[in-house]
Amino acid sequence: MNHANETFYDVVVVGAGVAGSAVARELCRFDLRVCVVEAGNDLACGATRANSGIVHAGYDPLPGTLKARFNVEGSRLYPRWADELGFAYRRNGSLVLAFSEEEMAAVRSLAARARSNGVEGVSELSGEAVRAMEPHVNPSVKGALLAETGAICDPYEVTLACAEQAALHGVRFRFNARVRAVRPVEEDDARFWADAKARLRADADAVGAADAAGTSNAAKASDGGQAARGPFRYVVTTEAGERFVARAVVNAAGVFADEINNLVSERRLRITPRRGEYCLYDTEWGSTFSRTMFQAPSSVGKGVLVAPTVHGNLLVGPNAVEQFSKTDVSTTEEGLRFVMDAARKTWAGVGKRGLITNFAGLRASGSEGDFVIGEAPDAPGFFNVACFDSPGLTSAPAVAVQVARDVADLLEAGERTTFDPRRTHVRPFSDLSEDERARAIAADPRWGHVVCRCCEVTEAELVAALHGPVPVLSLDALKWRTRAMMGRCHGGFCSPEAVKVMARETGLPPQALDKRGVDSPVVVDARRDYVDLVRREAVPAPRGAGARREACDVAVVGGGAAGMAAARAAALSGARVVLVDREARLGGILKQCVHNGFGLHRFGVELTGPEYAAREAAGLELAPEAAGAQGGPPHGGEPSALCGGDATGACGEALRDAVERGQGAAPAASGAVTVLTGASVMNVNAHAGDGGAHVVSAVSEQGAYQVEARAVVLATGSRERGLGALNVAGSRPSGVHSAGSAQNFMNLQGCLPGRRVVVLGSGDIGLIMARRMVCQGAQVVGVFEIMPHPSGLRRNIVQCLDDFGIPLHLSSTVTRLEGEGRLTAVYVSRVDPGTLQVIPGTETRVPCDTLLLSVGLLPENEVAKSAGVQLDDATGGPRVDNHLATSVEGLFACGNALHIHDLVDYASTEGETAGRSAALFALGRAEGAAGDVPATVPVVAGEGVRAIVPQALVRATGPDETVSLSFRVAQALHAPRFVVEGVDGEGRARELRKAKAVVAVPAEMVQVNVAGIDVSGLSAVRVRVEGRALEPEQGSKTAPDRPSAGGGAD
Amino acid sequence: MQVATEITTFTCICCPLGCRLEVSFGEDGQVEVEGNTCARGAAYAVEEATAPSRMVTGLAQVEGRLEPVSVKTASPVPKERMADVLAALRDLRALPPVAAGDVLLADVCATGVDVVATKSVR
Repeated sequence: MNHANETFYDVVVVGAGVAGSAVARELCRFDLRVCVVEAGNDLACGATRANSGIVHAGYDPLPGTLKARFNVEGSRLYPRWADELGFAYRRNGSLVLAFSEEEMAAVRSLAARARSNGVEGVSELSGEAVRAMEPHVNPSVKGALLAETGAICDPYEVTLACAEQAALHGVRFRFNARVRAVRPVEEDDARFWADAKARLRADADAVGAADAAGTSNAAKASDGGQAARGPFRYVVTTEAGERFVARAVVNAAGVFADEINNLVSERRLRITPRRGEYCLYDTEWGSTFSRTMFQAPSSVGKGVLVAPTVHGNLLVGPNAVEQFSKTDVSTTEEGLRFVMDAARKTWAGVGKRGLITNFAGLRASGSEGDFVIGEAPDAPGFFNVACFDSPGLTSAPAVAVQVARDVADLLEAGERTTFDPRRTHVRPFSDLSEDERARAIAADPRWGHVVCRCCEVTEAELVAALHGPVPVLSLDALKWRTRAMMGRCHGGFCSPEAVKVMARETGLPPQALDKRGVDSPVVVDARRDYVDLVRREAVPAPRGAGARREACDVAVVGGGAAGMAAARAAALSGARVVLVDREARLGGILKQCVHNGFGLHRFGVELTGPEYAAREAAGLELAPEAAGAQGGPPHGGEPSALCGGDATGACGEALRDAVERGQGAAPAASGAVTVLTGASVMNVNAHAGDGGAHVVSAVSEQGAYQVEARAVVLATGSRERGLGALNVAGSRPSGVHSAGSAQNFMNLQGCLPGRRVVVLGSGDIGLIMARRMVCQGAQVVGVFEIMPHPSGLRRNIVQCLDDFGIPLHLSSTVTRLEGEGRLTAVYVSRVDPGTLQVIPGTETRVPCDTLLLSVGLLPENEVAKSAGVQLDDATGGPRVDNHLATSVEGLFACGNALHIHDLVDYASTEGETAGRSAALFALGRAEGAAGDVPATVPVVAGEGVRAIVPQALVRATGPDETVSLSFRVAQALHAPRFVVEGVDGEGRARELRKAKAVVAVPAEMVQVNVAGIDVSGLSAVRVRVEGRALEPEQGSKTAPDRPSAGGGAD
Repeated sequence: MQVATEITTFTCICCPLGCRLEVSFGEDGQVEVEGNTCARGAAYAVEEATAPSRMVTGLAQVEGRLEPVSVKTASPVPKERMADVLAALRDLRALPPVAAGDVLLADVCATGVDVVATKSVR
């Protein structure tokens, strides 16, 4: 052994879940040299990871059990640990709901048990009282137990906090080290031990020398305390053959704790993994219940819980299914269905809506029912924290205190006086005030680079986590530590960026970087010089200036197609415009759309995405001349460098150059556009500025900006729907990407996302990506579409699928994923075209290593929400009038943020309308108050029409003004007739206009332009459609050879 | 004896209707189109039957830059040459700086069509 130092420890803790980490933390109170050996590649890989996150009050365990004792003690310790370690802990209280007399009796017996266990703050409530406390509870509730000390936490965060503090006190963490053997020293491999002894004989006293070798570091750190004594008792060997020699071993191996125990103790343990499956809801649902809602146990079962999480989500689950495997945490369709059905008893509103993910965890349930804690009777120095199922999370601190003290007593270790119970940790950016953000950015510009927009996580936080005390070995480890990639976009936007940061900081290229477990690479191939290139690209930003202020007439949020057009149109109308975009270069998602097909309507020529973006960006430079306005070039005398005929890249880089030279962004000039790139808008504070101006708060590496604007155009684009919304069962392997995310990896980073690809959803991005994957040498097995008709444009079906022989399977969907590390297969089933329900017995396994999702886009409106803008349920975007004014005066919306467009050309046109309207409003030329309800006439979607925009028409709309009504049809129609009707005060409808088309399909937006309609006397305008349904099977009947017709697993 | 005429079928991409187009060639070489709803469809069918062509877009690695440069064929290439062109693109490397419009590969696969950059890489 060359590194005797790393081999000899006073204590080896097996398992880095909450139990092992809490024990490690408590062991730091003593002069002990400790190593935590973990089979997985991160903390909390087992039972801790997928857990309800409940700090139980303690009314549930049987009196007299270890569970009862440690639960109550743990529950009391939690607030202090949360304070010392700085993890989230919310004492939200628990309710145990009863819906029958039997369940009321169960509640009464729990109350009695609570008294026996010494739980304070427990009372019984009437049904009425429960309904008053929790308005969303199923009204048939008869009564409940209230436990005021019930609380919630994030089990991963608790574990991380314990582990980090332990690491800061010198505890070593070894990951990917599965323990194969634990043997008493005498019985271990004779040759190894002879070696060690020979080495140790060099010193006078063998044990003393081992002491010196084993505790030299601890001895350095020690400060008068008594170092550990006693013989080395155990040799812990990992599967890789690594050996750890220890005076004491703590077995906190979760579902494997029985096997570890049985290696050394005749007192056999048996743990049966019990799977629990959960459904997690978006934070919009988090406030449905404020307390943790349990169901009273009954003859039918223990019920499931519905609970808020400390991160503001709503958690539903778990079921309890015994299983053989100790590693398989796949969810099942039956399990998820059971969980939802059972939760309905508590929450009638449970359903697929709002779902963001599902997951499963394993409980380490022992055959005896109680925890097994403490030194094994026949194995001195071997301590168990075993059979540690619920309430293990709650009990962990109390158990840790006990076990650490017992270990220290045995080893006669003295207290370490330098132990600091408080952990100092980086406060997340999302918790910082405006001023704190400005100061943080001034000190380190990386605080101004928001990588994860959903959870507001900055590059500085990622870097801090990557260089934290406990190593980060997977992308998920980074995600769980920082919450980056945990938001609504499911990492679609930020994971390519996070992968770059991780490569730069750790030297791991994306094909070697595991998404989650071992062998779960994020992509399958990348350039050999990826890491070098990422590092070369990362030019440290100049020091930021802290707080910055800007003033303008119109601020445009988002520099994609719609935002650029809005900025230009506003400037052409004479407004001083500030365009804020989060990326280094303008163009939004167009930058990664390297395919052609853009611009035919707007420019009369077919362009690729980057070319389209470059034209729009160049348009920003022309604005001042075209407007004939004063103000000169937008950026400190560098007009050509700003947005030259160069591609999209020019703007951001020129700005950065300018800033580097200390010029900063020039003040906005009238009729000109100032571009702030690399700046993420955090919120818009409506009417909060001087004279009722809106205040747009943004951060960039240059500082924290407050842009005051008379009018704001929201052009924030859209995000892709994720897998979570589909409630697909199975495992959570790597290789599942949203199509746009894969597009980013491929087209902006030169990575190959996968080799054998299934595409779910026939949206345009999915079709385009299917072709791109084939072009880059991958095989695309097929595209599966749940609807009976394709979602993408006809041209893309033909040119992306048919041209390359890729089959399109309609009325089919993916129901299950398979794969431990990387995806190995998906299961697809036929779907009933009428009900869209899976047809049982039609499931087939499709081997693949990659699943691309193209299951729809959702308008991105977090900024709109921050300003209080009213959103439309049908479109997902703001409700607007025909000037694209939202419900908040002076705020306008356009592009995919308003509603999902099929062609970018129309998003640009819409941007122009919004920009012009915003400029008119800002310059005081708009007539009437926008958004004022009596000043508008509502537009309603009639039969066959959905997602109509605008939702209202300005009553004063002039006869010379053309009104564009955009919408989608609910189903494919042959020879549709679109009828625009006026509805008067008595509800009588009369036809105002009628329009026709050859065909209309849901995949393509329909636009009806009507000029000169007089809406002043109407109470509503209604649009409906008439037409014959276009049978999806029609095509297949006439052309059975067509690969894209009919679908099915042919 | 009746000699059957061979027909080729396409899905029309001119609009969402997606007409099934059937194209056949008469003995005099005259092209006949059936199944179309409009004149655009007929023109598309003739072109698809006689000289189908496609724009090819893709990427080229840029020496010393992580971000690849996006490229396209300056004009459509014959559809049957698509695979060759794609293979040629796979091996394409460029040196920075690249300006949008730069010819990165002249006369790709002897099609007479150049491959040009569609964005600039500094």
